[in-house]
Amino acid sequence: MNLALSIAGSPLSPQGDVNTIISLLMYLSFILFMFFGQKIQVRLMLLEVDGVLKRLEFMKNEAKLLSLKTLKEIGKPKEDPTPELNVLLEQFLITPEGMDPAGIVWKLDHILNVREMKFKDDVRRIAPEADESQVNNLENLIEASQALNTIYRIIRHFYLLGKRTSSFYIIFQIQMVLPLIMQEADALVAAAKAFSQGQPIGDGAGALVAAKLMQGKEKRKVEKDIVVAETMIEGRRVISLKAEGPGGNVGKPGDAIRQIIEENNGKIAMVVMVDAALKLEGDKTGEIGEGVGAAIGGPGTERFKIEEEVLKHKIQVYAIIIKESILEAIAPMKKEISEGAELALARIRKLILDRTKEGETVIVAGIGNTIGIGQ
Amino acid sequence: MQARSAGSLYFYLLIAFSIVVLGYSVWMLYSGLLSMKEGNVESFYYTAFISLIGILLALSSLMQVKRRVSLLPRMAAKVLTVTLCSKCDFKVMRNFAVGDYVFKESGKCQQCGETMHVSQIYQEEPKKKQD
Repeated sequence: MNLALSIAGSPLSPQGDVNTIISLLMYLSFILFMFFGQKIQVRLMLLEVDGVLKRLEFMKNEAKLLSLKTLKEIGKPKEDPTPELNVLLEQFLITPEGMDPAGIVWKLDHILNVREMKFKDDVRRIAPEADESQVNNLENLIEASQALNTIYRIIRHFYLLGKRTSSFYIIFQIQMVLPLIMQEADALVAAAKAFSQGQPIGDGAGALVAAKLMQGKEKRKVEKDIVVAETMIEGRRVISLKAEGPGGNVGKPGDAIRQIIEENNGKIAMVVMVDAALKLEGDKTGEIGEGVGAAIGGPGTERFKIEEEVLKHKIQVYAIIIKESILEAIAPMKKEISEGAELALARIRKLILDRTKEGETVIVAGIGNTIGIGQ
Repeated sequence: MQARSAGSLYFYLLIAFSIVVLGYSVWMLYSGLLSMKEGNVESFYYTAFISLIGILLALSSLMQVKRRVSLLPRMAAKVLTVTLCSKCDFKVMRNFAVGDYVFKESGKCQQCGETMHVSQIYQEEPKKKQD
């Protein structure tokens, strides 16, 4: 048998020719990879980025078409809104200079206010028939399309730059973050659909908790799109607040909390903030977490205002969070999150009973986008 | 719409092509084994090398298809509206309609005639394994 194999493998036999060719091919491929390995890798990575770019282009076009369709359906504009929508999709915000950080929060807050005012006015102009709640939903929908458009342009920028320069490192860094970017893009597509129909999203979990506390109580409007209602929990006066729904709105909870604290001359025993928070991989969606501090996301201005105010009056601040992923936060609300709101409510009740005495006043702030959630 | 149907045609063609390649590669591997039994070892090495490449390519392509299919239920997930009677706890579950929002009044209760409210709006759980 061994003898037969050695004859078959010898270069003199016909099988030996095949063997020689295979060996030669292997040597050639080894030399090819040694000299052109990185170039081949760059080509393969560019191919992958190109595929993702095509998918992103499809996603941003779909979101834009959905925005146009919804604008036409709800807003009934007299002229074609496409040119104005294109301008909105390319709009940007320049954050304040941070070389001298003193007072930067108020500068940023002012710029955010101007941006919001302008964006809303622009949406009102291209959707004249939309009511206030629908304007808020349209604003959120266009913001989702804008985010997808920005992601697409950034990836395209790095793709073309990498292709032009053939730089391994430019392409490598963009290829590395592609899975995370696609996850965010997928979430934005789901969000656009939810915003176009006015469905509650995962981020609204905090607002949902506050709305449950407010149910059946008299409401009043306070600072910047926030509604407030009072209720009693075993002798404690509970002032709950949330952004005014059911339109897509987050309001300015920082200003509202400051106003309520001032109205009560600082006599607030505790502030409980309820918000949706990003879970870590492996955590269960809808699970409740409890902590200390101001539970609020965004650019940080609202958190700063709350922290300043509670420090001034030495008020305890607690955070109740409802865990969810980035995708779940902006996609239509999942059942686990909706049920998590009930669990959060029970936790707040326990916290209030444990940490305050009868006759004291507590603020419960439901943070998040209140789209699809009334009060 | 046309882009979508072209996309699904490409999708089915990809599955069919992958299955054909997989089948042919397995058959090739089998015939390679037969030729080894007949003493043709060189032919076995050659066919085994080619067929293993074919099997790997086809399996990788099918795995990609499986990943795309697992994304589909999420894209087509249904959103449900649950209305509840606060007096008798009578519950009605229906598909979400534009204009629904949580705590919106939603007609009279079929059992006791009390006003019903939307108590929950949520996305239906897609039938897939937990993340």
